[in-house]
Amino acid sequence: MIAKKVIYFLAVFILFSINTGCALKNTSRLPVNKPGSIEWPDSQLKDRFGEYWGYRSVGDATNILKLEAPYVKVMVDPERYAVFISAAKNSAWNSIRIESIEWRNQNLVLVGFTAEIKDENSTIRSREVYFSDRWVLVNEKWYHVFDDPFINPDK
Amino acid sequence: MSGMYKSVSLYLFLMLINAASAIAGDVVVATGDGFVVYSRDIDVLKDVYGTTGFETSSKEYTDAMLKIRLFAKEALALKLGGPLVADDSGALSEQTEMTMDIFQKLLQMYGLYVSYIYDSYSVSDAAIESYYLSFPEKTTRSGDVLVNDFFRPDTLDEEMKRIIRAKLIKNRKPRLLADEFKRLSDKYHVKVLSGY
Repeated sequence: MIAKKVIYFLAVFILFSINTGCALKNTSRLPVNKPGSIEWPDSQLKDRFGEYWGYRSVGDATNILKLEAPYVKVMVDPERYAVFISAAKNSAWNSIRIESIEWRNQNLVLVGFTAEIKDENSTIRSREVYFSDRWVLVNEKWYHVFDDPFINPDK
Repeated sequence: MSGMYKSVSLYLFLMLINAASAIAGDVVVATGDGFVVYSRDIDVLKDVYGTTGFETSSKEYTDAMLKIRLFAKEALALKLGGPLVADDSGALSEQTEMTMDIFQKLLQMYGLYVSYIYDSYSVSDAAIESYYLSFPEKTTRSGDVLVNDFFRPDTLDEEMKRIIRAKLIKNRKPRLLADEFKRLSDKYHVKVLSGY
């Protein structure tokens, strides 16, 4: 059931990325921000971003933690993290729309996106939520930057 | 069969200690390999905390005293306090009458072991580097000359590594101490005998 939801999410994410002109390019990283352009630095980040939010949408803490930046695994207790993540289990992510992709420095990219979410127990049809995401490049791999007072009290 | 005799002997031994102590108004609260915690020890602890206005449950006091005993014992075994004179070493590792002086020394050894636990906790270079690169706004020092590409792995110096390491384990500290307490309680076969 969860696997089906993840596949569905990834399919929607890929379809949406193509429709909105998110370029699936496997180019070298160029930390230059072109005004108004939504361009992924490389295909690895695009894939890992889709994977990460696919797992987040179903509350799969084990797989999400693998995509979190290495510091997260030191800072947060895995059980506590799982409790936090599982809060998303009761909602369905219908689509996501990439709003912006911006280099902060040569190892850090900010991704702004809007997700259309339907809470299973809610009578409201669906709602749009904006996320501002950070992704960091460490040892040639992109990782999600989890920044929440829950684990990072100095936020 | 011999195991049963051992258990009975231990039980009788503890009963004798309890009986002897009770005469002096003292009760065995907990035992572990090589040490005994008496109600009098807990009273010393209560007196120390009492001056700060702090109060807690009997179980918390017992656990705190056990933790101090166990951590101090490990600190002694690892010689974290450097070479001690024979009297000190004996007073800290075996049960003697608890005095404020001995208690203060136990606390010092306890503190050394707590630092040792934090220092020994493994934090990978990748964890430190990822934090550094992820949060430029949190890892900027007053003397840093910031240019667009300042935050790179090669600008991460030893001082910043120490700062970040401390940040990363800050949340984990209570859990690290609790885990170590549990490990040592098992290692030294700690038994809590009465809810003093």
